[in-house]
Amino acid sequence: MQLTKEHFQPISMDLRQAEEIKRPSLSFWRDAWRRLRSNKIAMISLVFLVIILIGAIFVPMFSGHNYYSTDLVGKNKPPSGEHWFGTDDLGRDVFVRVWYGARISLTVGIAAALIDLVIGVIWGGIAGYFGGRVDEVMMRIADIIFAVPYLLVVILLMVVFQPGVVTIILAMGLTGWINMARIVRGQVLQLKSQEYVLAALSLGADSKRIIFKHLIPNVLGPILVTLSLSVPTAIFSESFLSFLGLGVSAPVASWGTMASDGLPAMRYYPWRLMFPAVFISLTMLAFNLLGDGIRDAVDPRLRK
Amino acid sequence: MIRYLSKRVVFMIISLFLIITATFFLMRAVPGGPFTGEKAVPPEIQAALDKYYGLDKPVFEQYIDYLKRVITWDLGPSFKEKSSTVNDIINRGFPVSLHLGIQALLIAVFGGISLGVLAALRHNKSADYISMLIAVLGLSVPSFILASFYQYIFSIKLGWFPIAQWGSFKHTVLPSFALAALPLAFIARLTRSNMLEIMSQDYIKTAKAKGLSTFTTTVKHAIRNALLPVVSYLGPLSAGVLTGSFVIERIFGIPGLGREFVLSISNRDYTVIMGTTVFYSILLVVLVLLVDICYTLIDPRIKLTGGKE
Repeated sequence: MQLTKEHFQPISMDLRQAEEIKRPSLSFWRDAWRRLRSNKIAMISLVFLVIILIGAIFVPMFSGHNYYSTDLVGKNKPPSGEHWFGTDDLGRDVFVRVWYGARISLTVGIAAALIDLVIGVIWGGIAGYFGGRVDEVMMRIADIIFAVPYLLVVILLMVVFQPGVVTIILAMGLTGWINMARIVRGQVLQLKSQEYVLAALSLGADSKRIIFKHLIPNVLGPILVTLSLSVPTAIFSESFLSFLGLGVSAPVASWGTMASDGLPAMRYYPWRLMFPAVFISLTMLAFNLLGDGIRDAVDPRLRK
Repeated sequence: MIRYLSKRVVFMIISLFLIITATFFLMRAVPGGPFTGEKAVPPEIQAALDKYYGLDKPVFEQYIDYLKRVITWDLGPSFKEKSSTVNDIINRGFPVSLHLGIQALLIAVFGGISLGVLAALRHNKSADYISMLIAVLGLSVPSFILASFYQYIFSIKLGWFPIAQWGSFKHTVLPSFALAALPLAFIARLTRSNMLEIMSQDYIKTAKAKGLSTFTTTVKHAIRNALLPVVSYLGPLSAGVLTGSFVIERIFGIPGLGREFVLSISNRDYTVIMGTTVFYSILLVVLVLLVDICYTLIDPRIKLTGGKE
């Protein structure tokens, strides 16, 4: 084919259009969500956790069995059509108890993580923003609390107060926020010298407004990552405490108490240990993998 | 250095003091005394007991007494185990726990570093994925479940190791591995991400360019720098091994301090709970300080300025 001059024609060029952005611009969170969605492992974990959450809410409601009825004739029965996960040493249905345990474990995990979030963000935000002596005193207090192993404090609190779900949540929430506070403080320290903070200051914004409207929204990424990893820590601590006999008391079940009860019978009735163990492990795994995924999505530089 | 050290030691003493105080008052806040049992005790005997244990004095005086006794390292008698003092229980249980803990630490450190280095060298290959799978499983499976799983496979099914108790070396294998799983996983992940970062640094390229073998580059140049964060993790690591020993010793029936602590909790033996907590806290606070000092000795780049940004 011969190319001649007639094949070409000048098109009009508009200089203003040259600068136009063709694609819709993605906000930070939409971009993060797009990256998270393309992470198969994280999405599978997310779907799994949603299933566990829905099951925890609905299975105990609609099951033919309940978590507390005992049946001394039908005790320690292996899994069957009637009892899908078998029965325990008092003839209680393990299937319903596992889902009921999911309620307790998830409630504890999420509630404790939320308390961590609130205290940690406020503490770290104030310490980081004001700096100087305030920072020194607040972070020393945090250091002192951090010096004692977390579980030891929780154990002490559990010994002193009435064991129960609320006590566990409070004990863990009140001791577990140090990590969050440190991360928020570090980020706020970096951000507070940026121009937009100066702009807000010169417009007359008070400290509260600057911390919570300007600084904290910019730290949301690291906060979210820490939060997603503190949920499995709390679930783990709850099962640990229940295992030591400091958790929720009978007939209420959590995964930890069920595993603890099932342990001596492992040899002859393995399903009593196996099902709660599998549920704890898979849930923790899903939370950890989702947390990794969120970290990669929020901060792509960290991706390895 | 000296200024930093003395500051750290002062803070250490303050936090220990606060821990002892908190423990004392928390234990006082518990409803019921150590002698409230099923049987009613005649008031004269009750008074005599209170006098013997110093419980008839005002709370503040008891607190001062307790502080004095902690300083002289006399943690008082056990309320439930009449023949032993808390010091006896610690002297009896701690060597066993220490033995188990050191073995677990060694497994965690060497296993974790090897897995992490392997994963980083074989980045995005199957060895990497397998190592990281092991690591994420170690983070996700609670130690008590792992321990019972080991017992089921290696003791009941295969019969390689004794299922419980404490005695020969064989008894220590399963508990050590169960205790090491979580820190091992953590160290493996930490080492891997540090190694990956360091392997892309210019001085590694230089080392390769001047013809050093992969082995020399890795061992002499990369691992050294990648291990620094692992050293700083040793403090929290020992805390983890310590709390982990509570369940592991219970499951394997090991007569260590962790089991004594758990027993004292279920027996509500308050002096033992207090004494053990204080002992553990001192141990950990001192360990963390030592780790921090080692860290600064290993890495001269770290300036000791008291943690200011």
